[in-house]
Amino acid sequence: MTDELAALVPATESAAVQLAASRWVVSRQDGEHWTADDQAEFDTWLNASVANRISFLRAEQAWARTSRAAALKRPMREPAPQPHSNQLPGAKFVAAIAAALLLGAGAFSYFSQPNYTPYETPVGGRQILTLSDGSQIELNTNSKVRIASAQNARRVIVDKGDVYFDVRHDARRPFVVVAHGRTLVDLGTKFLVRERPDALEVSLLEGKLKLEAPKGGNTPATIMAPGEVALATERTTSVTRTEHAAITTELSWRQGILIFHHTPLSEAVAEFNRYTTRKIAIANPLVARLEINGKFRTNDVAMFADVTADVLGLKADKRDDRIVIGR
Amino acid sequence: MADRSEHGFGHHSVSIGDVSVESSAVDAWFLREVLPLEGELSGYFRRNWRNESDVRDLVQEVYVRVYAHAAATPELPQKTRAFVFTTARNLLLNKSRDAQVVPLEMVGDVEGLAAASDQPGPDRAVIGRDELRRLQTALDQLAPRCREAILLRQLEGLSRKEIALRMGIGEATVKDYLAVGLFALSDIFFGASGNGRAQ
Repeated sequence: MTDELAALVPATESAAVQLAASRWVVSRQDGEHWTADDQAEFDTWLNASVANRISFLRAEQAWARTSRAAALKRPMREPAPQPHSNQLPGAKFVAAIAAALLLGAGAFSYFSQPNYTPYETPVGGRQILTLSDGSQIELNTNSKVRIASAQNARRVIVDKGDVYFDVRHDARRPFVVVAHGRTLVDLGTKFLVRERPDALEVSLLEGKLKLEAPKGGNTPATIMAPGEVALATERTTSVTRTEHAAITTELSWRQGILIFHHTPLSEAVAEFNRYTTRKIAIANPLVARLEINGKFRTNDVAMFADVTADVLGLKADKRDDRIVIGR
Repeated sequence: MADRSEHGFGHHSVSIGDVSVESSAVDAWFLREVLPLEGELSGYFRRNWRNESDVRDLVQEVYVRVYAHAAATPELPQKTRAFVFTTARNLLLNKSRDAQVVPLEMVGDVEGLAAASDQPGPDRAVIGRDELRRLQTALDQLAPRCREAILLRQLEGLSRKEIALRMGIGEATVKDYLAVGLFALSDIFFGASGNGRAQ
């Protein structure tokens, strides 16, 4: 540690223990770096003396209090999504490109049936799959994909949930995602696919992505640009444009965080319930309309309930199997 | 300093998946009832002990004693506040005897405190909107680089690696900033200090 930093900690026995405890609290936050050896070393340290233990409890309490307060802080600013047509004067141009690409892509070539390997995450789970070409597929809670196992096919079926794609572009081997009866063709991109109950939501972070025309009907294919969010049913497509920050917010689950910004409690709770088996229920429909702001860890449903209840002046009744928020 | 009895700890299972320590009843009691007394306890020692720089050690010693006692007995202490301040007084008595000084106010002060009801003191943690304000005040008191690291971690949710990139420092240094920042925040929250609070 630098002298400048060391000078901030008094040279006493108890301060040294408290600093060591703070260090453990901080280290344990870094999930990826935390190894079984670290855990063993920590256990030994924690049980070595009462002073260690109480110093750890104290530091962890301070950390938790900081997190809780931080959760109340407003998230980043993000304007409401605006209709695509208002933003892009060149809508016709986009449609023209879309039509051109539709001819080129040869959609039928994707319909040969390769073998698929399924991957699934449980409620509260998260998984990153790395394909042999370096592309990455990240599954959020309660999600399922099937990945074509044939050597040359780059094809993924999304059966449910949220899936984030970071695709290595290869012009000769298009990367194809099928979800909700619709087909997406990657043109070198990072994008998020979310299966909503009644539609497919596709958010494009980087690069270019083609949403194929639905089967039948007159809706053309769409070429998406970064910052666009497409809502697609089996027959329709609507694209809105949003700030990059809004998509980043939506992708915060990749860090295990949910961000709410003027979100009705009912929506926030529904979102949170996707990550936990200990479900939250709202006791009163009037309460459901209250709005909540904040950043929350997806693995701490109790903290979400506490902070929410506290900010909105409600009560969180925490039972073993569920949490009821009400007056 | 005094004895550090180790009895009764083996059975506290501390399993830490990637998130939380499973609190034993004693841990929960300590956090709920003892820790909030830290401000008062520090004030008590500052008034009654001539050497300011010993205060942190004295508070720590009281914690160790009350925790060890609570862990060794089947029932949690009923009157935590009286228990804590009686322990503090006994500790002062021992120390005074060793140092051959008798702090002036000590006896009267302690009797008063020990007799006081077990009502929550003003330092009890208040969660909610006030807490955000308190956090901001607390953060203002940190060294700038420590504050920056804590903000990036807690508000932006960045990993240690990302913080290192953002601040242009090594990952080990990020850990130092976070640890020292948390050390200082603990003091500010629980109202210890007076002796070289990290600012």
